[in-house]
Amino acid sequence: MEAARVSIRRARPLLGTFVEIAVAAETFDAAEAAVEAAFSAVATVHRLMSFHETDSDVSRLNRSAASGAVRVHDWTYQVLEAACDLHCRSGGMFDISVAPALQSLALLPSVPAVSSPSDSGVIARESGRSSNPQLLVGNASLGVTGCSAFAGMTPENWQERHRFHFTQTRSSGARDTIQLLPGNRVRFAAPSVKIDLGGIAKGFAVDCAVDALHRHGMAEGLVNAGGDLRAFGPRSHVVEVRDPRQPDRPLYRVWLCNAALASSAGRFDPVRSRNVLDSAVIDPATAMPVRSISGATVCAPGCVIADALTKVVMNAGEAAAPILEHYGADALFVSADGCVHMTTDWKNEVHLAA
Amino acid sequence: MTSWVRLTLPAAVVASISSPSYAVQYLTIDAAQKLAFPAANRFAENGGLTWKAQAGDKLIGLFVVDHVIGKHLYIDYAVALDTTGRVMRVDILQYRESYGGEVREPGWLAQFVGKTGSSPLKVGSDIRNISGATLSSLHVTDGVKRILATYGSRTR
Repeated sequence: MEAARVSIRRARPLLGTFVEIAVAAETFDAAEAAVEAAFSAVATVHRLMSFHETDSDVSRLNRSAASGAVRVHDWTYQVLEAACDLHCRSGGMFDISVAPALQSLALLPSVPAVSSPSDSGVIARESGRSSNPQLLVGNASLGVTGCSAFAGMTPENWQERHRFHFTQTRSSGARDTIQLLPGNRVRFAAPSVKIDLGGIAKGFAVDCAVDALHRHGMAEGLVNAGGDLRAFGPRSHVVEVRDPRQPDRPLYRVWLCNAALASSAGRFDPVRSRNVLDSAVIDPATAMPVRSISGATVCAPGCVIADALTKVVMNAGEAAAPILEHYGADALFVSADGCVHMTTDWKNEVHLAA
Repeated sequence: MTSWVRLTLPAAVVASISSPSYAVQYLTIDAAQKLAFPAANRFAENGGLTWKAQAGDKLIGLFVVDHVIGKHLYIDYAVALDTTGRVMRVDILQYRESYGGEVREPGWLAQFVGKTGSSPLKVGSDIRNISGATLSSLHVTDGVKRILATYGSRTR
């Protein structure tokens, strides 16, 4: 095979952050076509899974899934399946139904954004709201998610839910918060259930973008959605991870080869300040942002798992070992007392600054 | 079984592994114009940082460059509007984080002059990839809304 000669790197505002795609290809046109297809996949995930856009699957579910099953896109269904699996395996530490907690902290809007004029009308629009011009880039962040002990879902009722997922629907009480039904249909147990996929959809989008690059024959590339990233190809990629306590400085470097890496930490906005804000990951015990751990990074084979597991590590710390092992993941986190905790197997790939 | 190692860090890591700045040029204006409007054979300056994309005599869209400038962040971005006033695409042209106070310095911006969109960049070698706290793109999406409000009707 002829070696790749052209490398390009592009960035667009998507998923509420900056999504960067880099590839190496034999020709410039092949590289551009592949990158375009990958951005298109990310834009599709944004459109389907944004909490903020009324046309998204997430908004349709939040409006209507309590009163009847709502059919969603195959990708949305895949993310919900992964989210439910993670919820079960983390003992409730990963939870997509934290939207109300995030809304109460003003980390998500209380009232979803108004719909576009092109709303297909599959679900009746709420009345009394004006329309805004719809931007291709979306008009707000995909949102942020943490985890909570919401709903008290246990492994037992996860298994129970999956049983009827493959057989037939039956009522199993209020604990079946999110019911995944055949035919990509989803139902919520109560009107109070609201989901936010901000803690998993970015990773999923990265995986979709990588799939698109593979379909276009790219042998080497990297997709980075605001720090949730995945690299493929023969070379190792250096990733610098921001110090969660001082995000303008990198704390360590990771060598990444054919793997995904994702981080969670306090938010920061360098337009305004170099200071760090509270994390948007929710502590299940308090329904408040996690404070005992200031930042976590997870390395996993796929980005959807890496992204979601950062929320589990932020909450569980070292107790996340079994779930990390289950998914073949490594992790590093910085506790509020300044200790760095790293899974032993990852030591050789991580180089600390100090 | 997964086990952990623990290391104690000083309260603030002063000995950083690299300078506290991060800059990438993704596209020049010319390259971004051609990617947004491959059918155009002319980009007529239209005042400010706006161009009319033309295929022969026919107007096929409007290309607008704008920037976000803040305390520690500078972003140039381009918005392509079609003739119905719809946003076709938004590309980041250049991105810079700086914590040394030079984010507004013209000298810094000058270093990009003359670079082309196809300047060789080796994936994974001379490029820094960053993970950590997720930066919001809200400043750019707000800018895109302003551009749409200002220019959306002028393309028709």
